[in-house]
Amino acid sequence: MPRDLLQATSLKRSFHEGGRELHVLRGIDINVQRGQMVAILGASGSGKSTLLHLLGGFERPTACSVIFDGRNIYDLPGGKLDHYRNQHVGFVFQFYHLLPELTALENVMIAAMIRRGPLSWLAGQGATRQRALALLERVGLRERTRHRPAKLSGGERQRVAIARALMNQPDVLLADEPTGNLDRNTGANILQLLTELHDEGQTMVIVTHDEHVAARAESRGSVRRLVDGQLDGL
Amino acid sequence: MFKWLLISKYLRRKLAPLFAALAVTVCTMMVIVVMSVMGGFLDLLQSSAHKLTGDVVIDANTYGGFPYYQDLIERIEKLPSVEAATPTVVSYGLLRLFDSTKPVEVMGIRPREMDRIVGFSQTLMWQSSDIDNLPTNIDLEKLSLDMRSPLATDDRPGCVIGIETNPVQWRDEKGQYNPGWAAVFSEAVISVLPVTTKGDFVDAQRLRCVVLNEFKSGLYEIDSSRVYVPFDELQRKLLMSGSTQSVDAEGNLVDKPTPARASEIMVKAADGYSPQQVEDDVAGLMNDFLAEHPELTVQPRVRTWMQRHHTLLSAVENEKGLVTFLFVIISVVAVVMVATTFYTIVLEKTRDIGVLRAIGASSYGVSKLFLGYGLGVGTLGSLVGLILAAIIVTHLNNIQDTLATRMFSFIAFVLVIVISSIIVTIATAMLCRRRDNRLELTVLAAAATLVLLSLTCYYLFPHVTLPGIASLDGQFGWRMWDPRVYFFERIPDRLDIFGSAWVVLGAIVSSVVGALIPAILAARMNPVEALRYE
Ligand SMILES: Nc1ncnc2c1ncn2[C@@H]1O[C@H](COP(=O)(O)OP(=O)(O)O)[C@@H](O)[C@H]1O
Ligand SMILES: [Mg+2]
Repeated sequence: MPRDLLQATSLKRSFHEGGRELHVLRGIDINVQRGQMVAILGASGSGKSTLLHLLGGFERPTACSVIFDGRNIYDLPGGKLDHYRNQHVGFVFQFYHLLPELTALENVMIAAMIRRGPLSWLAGQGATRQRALALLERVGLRERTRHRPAKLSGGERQRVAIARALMNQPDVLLADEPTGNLDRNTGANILQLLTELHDEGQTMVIVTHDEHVAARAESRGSVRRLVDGQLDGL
Repeated sequence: MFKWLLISKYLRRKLAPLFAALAVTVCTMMVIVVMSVMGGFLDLLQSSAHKLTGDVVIDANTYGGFPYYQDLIERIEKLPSVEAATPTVVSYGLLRLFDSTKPVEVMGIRPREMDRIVGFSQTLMWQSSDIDNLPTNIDLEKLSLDMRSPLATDDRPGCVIGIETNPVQWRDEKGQYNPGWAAVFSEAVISVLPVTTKGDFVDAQRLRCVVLNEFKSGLYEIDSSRVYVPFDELQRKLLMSGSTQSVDAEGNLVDKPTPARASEIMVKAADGYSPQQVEDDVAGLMNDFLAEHPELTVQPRVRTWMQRHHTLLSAVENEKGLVTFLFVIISVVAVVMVATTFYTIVLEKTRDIGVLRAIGASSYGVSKLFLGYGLGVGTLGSLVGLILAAIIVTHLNNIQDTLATRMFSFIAFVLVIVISSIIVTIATAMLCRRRDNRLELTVLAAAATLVLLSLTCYYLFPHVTLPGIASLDGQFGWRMWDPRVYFFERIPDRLDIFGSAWVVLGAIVSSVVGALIPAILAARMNPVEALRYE
């Protein structure tokens, strides 16, 4: 039995809102193995994004912890947690979240630039650029490298975002409703791209409220349902 | 590394930081201009004051002067730190010239020694060529240094008067004196009041002399009140040249010699010695001297030229400090501008900050992004301000001349420049919009047009006369700096490079400080909340 890449047991997260305690995640048990594709299906507001943020090292759970490769990421010192977000996970957002001032190519490259000083950046610049171009080509945007996000369609923006998430060869790709903001056709294309990436060996966790997406994932991995702050099914 | 990419993008694609940079530019420019001009005045005053007294001056501290000065001078000149020393006698009296009588300070000098010590000949106003109908063999400068009448038969001594003591001399609107009104070779009658060693008045003495030249020291108070005459002549008239007899305690004449007296000794430092060092050395000598002459009840004072003119110099120094301080306070505006601009940028960029954090930027990295941004705005703004200030300061006299003589033509030219630049800017903006709304191109085009047109007009300006407007120029005109009022005829126009460097540095640091609070805010931001921010 291979060791879990990402794992959490009875993970809890609650918010204080207007003096009341809001228990969003009430005890999540999840484990993701290398090469696996996990889909999490849940209604809007069920806490899918919150779960993904916890797995991605964005914010602390109220109780319990997230174990990555045998280590609790929230026990890491601050700098190491930044490193974790940068190197070990790639995040794809529902609303793309590209930087509007940068071109598609720069948006992809920035993931590699962000933790490098000017010197090591200059040394590796050519290789970084090549990799970013190759990724853009891989997601089908060869002709759009110099476009700014405002000049790209929703599907194209999400492709740039996926290329950015893959830039540092993350161990796991976390996708938060990657098709949620797209029409059915475009969404299907994005989903196609993600499944292809999975075929190439990319570990990923996709959350969605869309049964169609879940159905696509069913054939190749596990689908879990997020209900009442807990995951069911295996 | 992402920081520099984003900083350069943010700088080029946003209008707000440009305004912040503009505020920095204006403040830097103001402070540098004020500092340079005020510093220029101070320099002028200082060099004028320095030229009046040499590096170190010993003064008698009493109207009656002090004895054994020649002996003292010989000893002083032996000091390695001293190049030369010369005595003067100083008195107050009345100058009668062209039927006008004025109170003046009369100073007896040895002109050639004075020239070695303070460059006396450089303050002389007139050369032979300035004066009409002068025989060609007469050299005014040589005459002034000899202080003798040009006529061999004439036994009157010569004198050199302060240019403003001449009752008929005046300055035109450019601040120039008129050689036609020079008092050269007119007779001046100077009356002085001698006092005895006990301080009693003796009958007023009259000294008739020939005006050989006029001098301009650069200090109005001096030029309007001082007259130079030969040392020996004045010493004799003031009864300070000594005699074989003296007056004893009961007031009887006794056969005991009275030594000659002088009022001051001016000392010039040797190369490589500071006035302060000379002052120390001379003060040491003075102590020995006083020990040898216990009868000197009033002790002469040794002071550097700066101590001597302290009140005058420190007044201007104070003014300079105060004005610079006021403008620095105004410059706090720039810091506030930068802070508010950056605050809005942080708000506007909240989501992007969340994204950056989500893909791995550290909170430190994000704060550095904004600090670097402040650095960029500060550097850009202050360097442009420095360039503008340099242009303004070095052209101040032109600007002032323009305002006085061609103000309306200038306004017309400026209107032409501004209107054409606006047209070009709008045109580029419209062109750019069709392609990719690149702010930088528009700004660049506007700036380029502005610079090009300004340069063209700058070179055309003196040559082109606009009909109609020229007559307006003739009638109205504003002289912001009337040299008839102030004593230097030119506005100081040298850039204070050392001070400017400090101002630029200060502007950059202030911008970074202005960016500090927004940077901390950005660093503290929780990435998840930042991502949720709409
Ligand atoms: N920072 C927060 N403060 C208060 N409540 C929050 C916060 N973040 C999320 N929630 C609440 O948690 C619940 C789950 O949110 P979310 O994870 O975004 O749901 P989903 O992504 O499944 O639509 C929602 O009811 C939301 O209002
Ligand atoms: Mg969500």
